[in-house]
Amino acid sequence: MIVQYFKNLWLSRYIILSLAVQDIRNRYRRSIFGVLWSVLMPLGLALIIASVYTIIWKTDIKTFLPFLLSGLTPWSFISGCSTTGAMAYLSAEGYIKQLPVKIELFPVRVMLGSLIEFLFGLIAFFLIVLIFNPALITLNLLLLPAAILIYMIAGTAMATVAATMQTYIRDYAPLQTLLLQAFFYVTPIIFTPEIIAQRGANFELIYKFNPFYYFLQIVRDSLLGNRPDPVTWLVAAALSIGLLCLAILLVQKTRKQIVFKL
Amino acid sequence: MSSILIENVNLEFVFRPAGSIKDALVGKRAHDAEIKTVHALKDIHLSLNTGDRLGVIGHNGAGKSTLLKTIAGIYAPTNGTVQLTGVPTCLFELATGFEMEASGYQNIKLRSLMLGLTPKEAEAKTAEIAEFSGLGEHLKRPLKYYSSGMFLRLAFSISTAISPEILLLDEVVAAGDAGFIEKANQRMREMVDQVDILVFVSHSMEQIKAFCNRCIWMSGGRIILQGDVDQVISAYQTAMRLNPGNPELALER
Repeated sequence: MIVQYFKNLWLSRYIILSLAVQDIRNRYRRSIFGVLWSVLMPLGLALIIASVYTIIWKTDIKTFLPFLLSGLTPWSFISGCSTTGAMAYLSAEGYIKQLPVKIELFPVRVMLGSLIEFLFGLIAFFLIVLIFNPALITLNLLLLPAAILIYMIAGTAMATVAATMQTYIRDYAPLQTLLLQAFFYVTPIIFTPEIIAQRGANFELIYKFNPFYYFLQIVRDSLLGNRPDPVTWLVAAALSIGLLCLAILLVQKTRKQIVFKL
Repeated sequence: MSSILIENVNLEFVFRPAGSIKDALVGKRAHDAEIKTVHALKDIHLSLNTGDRLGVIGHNGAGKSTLLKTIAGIYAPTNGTVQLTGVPTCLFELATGFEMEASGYQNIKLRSLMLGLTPKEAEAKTAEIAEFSGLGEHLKRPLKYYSSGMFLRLAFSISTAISPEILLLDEVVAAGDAGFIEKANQRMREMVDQVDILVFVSHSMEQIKAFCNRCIWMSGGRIILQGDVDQVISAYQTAMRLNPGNPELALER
């Protein structure tokens, strides 16, 4: 079952690549700044949030801005995979109903689109770091490729789960959006884990049992020069593999039926 | 040598009332009456070999297109087996499955890949496809600006560029202006001549007679008559005259 999944993806590699290139082209078609927007958007958003924090709470912008970007960028990857992923099968109706294509390729297409955005977000991050706090760049950066690999696995899995759910239950997408919004606020993205930890051990549970915390943390370890915590990495890797197994199971169970549900 | 072997194939679609989270939450289960099963293919046996040109006739909803899609591997049978030797190409629903934002050229490449070509092969085919479509400079524009005629030209040109071993044909809509229709018909005849096996769904008895050497008549998901083209068509036409609403009744008599 797992072998077949990867074999199908391998057989579809040219199609996936071609579709991903297509998606990138579409995104920047006829915009003046083009690709630059992918860097400017996270930069702008981070600047807005950081300004508010700096003015109201007198946060040190030099440390807060890199921290913020190191959380916002992974978060938009995660939420992007889930949100766009929900439409992965439905928007591929024309292909699935007419050509003998493998359905598993469409969530991967979505993941690759989000991954490109993620990489541009990283460029924004490095720009900020170079300007405000070059000391943050450490050897930990060598961990980044590993984190990205975990992200690709988790992102594909999340897109697949969302695509399947949405195809069977059309109310899934709005519900998922709400849930993600809730997680955005309970995951240490726009505040540091320490802020919560200070409130007491009970509050720590808010992020200790939050799967998204671990995904965020592995990227932060790589980017911010924290001492990497092996447990965090293990949890993130296990979560992504577990999710992928679920996704593969869903693909195999629904492969024959999806075409009738579109 | 190509072959199609269909053994004991049944295909059922299950229609449930659209599931919603609300229903799931309140534990409402769809009543049996609301779940409709459509038995689209019933006990289909079919064996085709190189040289066979099969015409499929029958009125709307008889299961003709479903049979074609099952052979193509788009629908999986509920039970039974479909075995194909040879590469199939499908010509139906021509106008779906394109990237509307992408240019004609990009769509040619993408569709070629989906039809199983490697990037190199796709590259090599592009010029020929572009030439045949006669769309010229328009191929550089995004598909969303195409007229429906241009659209069908492109679709037809791509789908027919690959020489398949098995051709699955569902009443291709005539595309574009008179000149292109002539060109398209010419290419269809060439393809039909070249392929090992043809399965052709049509309501036009003349076309079936022109292209096919075997014929099946489908009704209610079953093959109710098969054999020689003239024989099956005349039985079908007689039945249609006797009882236009329900021709298979005439057959039983």
